[in-house]
Amino acid sequence: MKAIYLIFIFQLTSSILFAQTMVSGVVKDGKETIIGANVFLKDTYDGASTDIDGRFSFETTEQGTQVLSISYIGYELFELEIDLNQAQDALVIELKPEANELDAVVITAGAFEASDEKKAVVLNSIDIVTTAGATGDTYGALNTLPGTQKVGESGQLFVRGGAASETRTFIDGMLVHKPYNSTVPDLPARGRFSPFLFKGTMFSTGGYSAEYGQAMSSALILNTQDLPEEDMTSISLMSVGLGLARTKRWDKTSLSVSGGYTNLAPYTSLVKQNMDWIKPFQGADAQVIFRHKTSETGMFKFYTSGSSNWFAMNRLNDVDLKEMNRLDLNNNNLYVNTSFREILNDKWSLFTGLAFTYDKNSITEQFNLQSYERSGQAKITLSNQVNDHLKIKFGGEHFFSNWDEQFTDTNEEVFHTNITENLSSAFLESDIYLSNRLVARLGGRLEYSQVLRSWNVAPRTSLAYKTGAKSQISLAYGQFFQTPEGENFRYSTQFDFERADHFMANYQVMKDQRIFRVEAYQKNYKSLVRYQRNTPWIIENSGDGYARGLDVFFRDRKSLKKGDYWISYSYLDTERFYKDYPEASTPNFASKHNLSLVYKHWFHKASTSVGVTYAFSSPRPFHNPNESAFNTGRTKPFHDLSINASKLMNIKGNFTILHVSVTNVFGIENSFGNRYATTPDANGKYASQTIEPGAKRFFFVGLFVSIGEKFDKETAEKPD
Amino acid sequence: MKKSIVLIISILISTFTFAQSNKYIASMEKGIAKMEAAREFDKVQEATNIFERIMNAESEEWLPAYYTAYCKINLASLSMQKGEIDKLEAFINDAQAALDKALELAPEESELHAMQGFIYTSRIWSDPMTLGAKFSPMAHESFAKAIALNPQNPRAYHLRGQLIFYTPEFWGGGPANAKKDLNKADELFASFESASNIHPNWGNGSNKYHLSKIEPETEKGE
Repeated sequence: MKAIYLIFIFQLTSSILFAQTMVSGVVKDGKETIIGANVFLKDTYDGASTDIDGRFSFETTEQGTQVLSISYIGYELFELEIDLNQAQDALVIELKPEANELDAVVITAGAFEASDEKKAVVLNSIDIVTTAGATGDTYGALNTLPGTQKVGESGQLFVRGGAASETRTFIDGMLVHKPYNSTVPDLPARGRFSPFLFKGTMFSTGGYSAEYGQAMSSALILNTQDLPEEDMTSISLMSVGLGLARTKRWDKTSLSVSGGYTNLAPYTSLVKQNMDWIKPFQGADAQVIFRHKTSETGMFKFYTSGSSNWFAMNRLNDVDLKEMNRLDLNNNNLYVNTSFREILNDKWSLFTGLAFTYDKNSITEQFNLQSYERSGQAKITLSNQVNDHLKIKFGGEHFFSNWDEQFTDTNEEVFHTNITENLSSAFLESDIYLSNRLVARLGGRLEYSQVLRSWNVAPRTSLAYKTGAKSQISLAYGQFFQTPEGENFRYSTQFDFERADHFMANYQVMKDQRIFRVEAYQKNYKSLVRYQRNTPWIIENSGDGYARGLDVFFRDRKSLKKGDYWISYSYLDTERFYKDYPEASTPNFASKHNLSLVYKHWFHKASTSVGVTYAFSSPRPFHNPNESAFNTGRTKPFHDLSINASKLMNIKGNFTILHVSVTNVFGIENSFGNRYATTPDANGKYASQTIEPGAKRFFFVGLFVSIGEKFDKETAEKPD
Repeated sequence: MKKSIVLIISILISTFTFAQSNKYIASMEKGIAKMEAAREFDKVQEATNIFERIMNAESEEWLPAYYTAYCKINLASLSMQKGEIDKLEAFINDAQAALDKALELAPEESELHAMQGFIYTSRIWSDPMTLGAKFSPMAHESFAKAIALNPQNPRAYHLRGQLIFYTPEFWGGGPANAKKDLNKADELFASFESASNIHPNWGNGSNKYHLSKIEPETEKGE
């Protein structure tokens, strides 16, 4: 009897337990079916994968209302309540593409980002050092991006019709007053900072955040490395000098000390130079970098560098370009940058910074020019993640600067200028995520200049909208103010900020290591300083101008195996009526067309990376005083093909790079217009001299050895 | 009568739980069989889906999450071969999320740390020159931990040997430098006995393949 009961109950339970319901349907994204999606009842084993037609079907013994989940890579998890007491055999499920971090909408108008940490970036730090033609200079590498104009005799960054002084460099949020080494007109400058210092670079060609002021055209935002991975000693032996660096890493702290010496004398004696050197460029520099992790999320950084460089050359004098005069330049520079950042809690994070610059420059020809600059900056910013949709950032900074210049002319007459400036500013900015696809940034900046006795209020706004999983459009508008260049202060302080208004529209697609972006912009200059040539002390803010153009960028790391290339093209139409211009005209630093083709190839067997860069810019105008009309001269079009190669080796367990580079391989005769005498000769003619590159080509050979903690399996095996 | 009801109920309950744990093992076995047979992307995806379903239903077992992570890395590798870098990143992120679940359940399990090393290794694939410097030391740290927790784990040696195998010689890698680890793995694989037929028991084939590649590669001087 008992046994019968048992069997009966068993059968009953099993029939209840194993009553099967069919679940089937199809999973799609628009017209496309999804293959391999995981369709299952939540918290059960029951489910199936979709087949090649996006179809699924499975049986389940579950009863009642259950949650059907569908997951697939790159799509949002889909959940649907279904009633299993009836057949569910015609489900049509539409999945939504997921907006993950990689594809999230970000503000991109104007900004080129290079980072080693984020994925969705245009360049990374290795790209900067391996770009042929850049000769390891950050500014040289950025010159292959759209929006820049090549100005070979300067070496500085000129962005979208802006003068070099309109591009400002920021390191860890702090303005760098002297980012380039010191030089004389027509001798190109290089950046003072090694590209290896930085883990991330944001190069903004306009429309940037309200956090950055005193830059009318462009902001180059560099972020230094955090703690280095391990102890390291590195030695650099180069055709132009040598360097030594030592890094020590403790648990939460690191200290790096480095020094270098540069001497171009051996090089200039081997390779024919266009310059008549007496003492070719020499320099000595030293850096100390200290980093300390103050907590899980806090980081304190201290960076200081000191450098001294000097050269002497024979140069035609400015007055009549007849006599060769000896010119001596001496520069001493000290830069200190300290910063501290910390995430205070889920909502608040804090940044504070202190920076200091001392620069002493001395140029002696028949005249003597001594200039000193001392400047300091203190900054604090706070950001608050109010909720998922709103982030607010605000802060304030104060700049102190003292500029002292003593000019002794050929008649021993002394002109002295001493200007002290205190500039205070505050900014507020909010990022508002209106949806997964739409973000708006609204902000503004307020500045007060003591020397100009003037205020400015600069609104900034940008908007980005995702048009697809990998594409987006961005718009930006902003006002950008800058104190006029120091030279104007020689005569007067009776003027005001200069101003540029930016309008830009950008479209970008980024998919699987290919990037395409195009950006159109209009920049309106207002209240530029203007004076008459014969009365430079009467300065007014009555100048104006415009720059408009189109920048195109395409990079492809996918199509060619082991190959990587990018193409940049910039179209620029600009005129300005400023300084001593008699009329509105295209300035000397602006060329209509600029093109860069950069190619890099990795040869696996030879462990060698080879790069080729071709650069072109169309003629630039210059003023020929022998012509009555203004700015009628035209430079030759500029062409350059540069190559480089880096071989990676392991010499006695030490990672070693052998780097060789040559600029202007084909020896194209480039020139950058003419230099004219300041006074006419007996016939009333102004003598002229062609401005040429320092040498036809630049050859560079360097051996960089890293004596690191050798790769050691035995130590790796020890438990920590 | 009371006794017999108790007896019936207890039999019922035990049959039910037995069926449940049987179902877990049966499903895992089905997933492992599918995984081992899978060669192309869609089949690996199907195996992954099985493990992912079990992982979602069984919040106390680390093995389903472990296999989910392993399968996702295989999917990442197959995406890489197709040049789909965006998918590669997404699969690695999924693999890490699954492994994090497993590590919460069994933080001292050697196999999980070996898998963590494998995930860090996979982070290098998309751009070895830039990412190698960061993720290679992290992978080595994980393999070292896996070995410290269980010196008899052949997969810890195998995966580390494989990382060294593909690390360029100028960074101290290459087939010749990988030999020691791969040989050690080979030795351990030979005597390895899996704790059950659903515990990790893979890698020997790949290890033998890499070992076989060492001699000719070194001779060619690559």
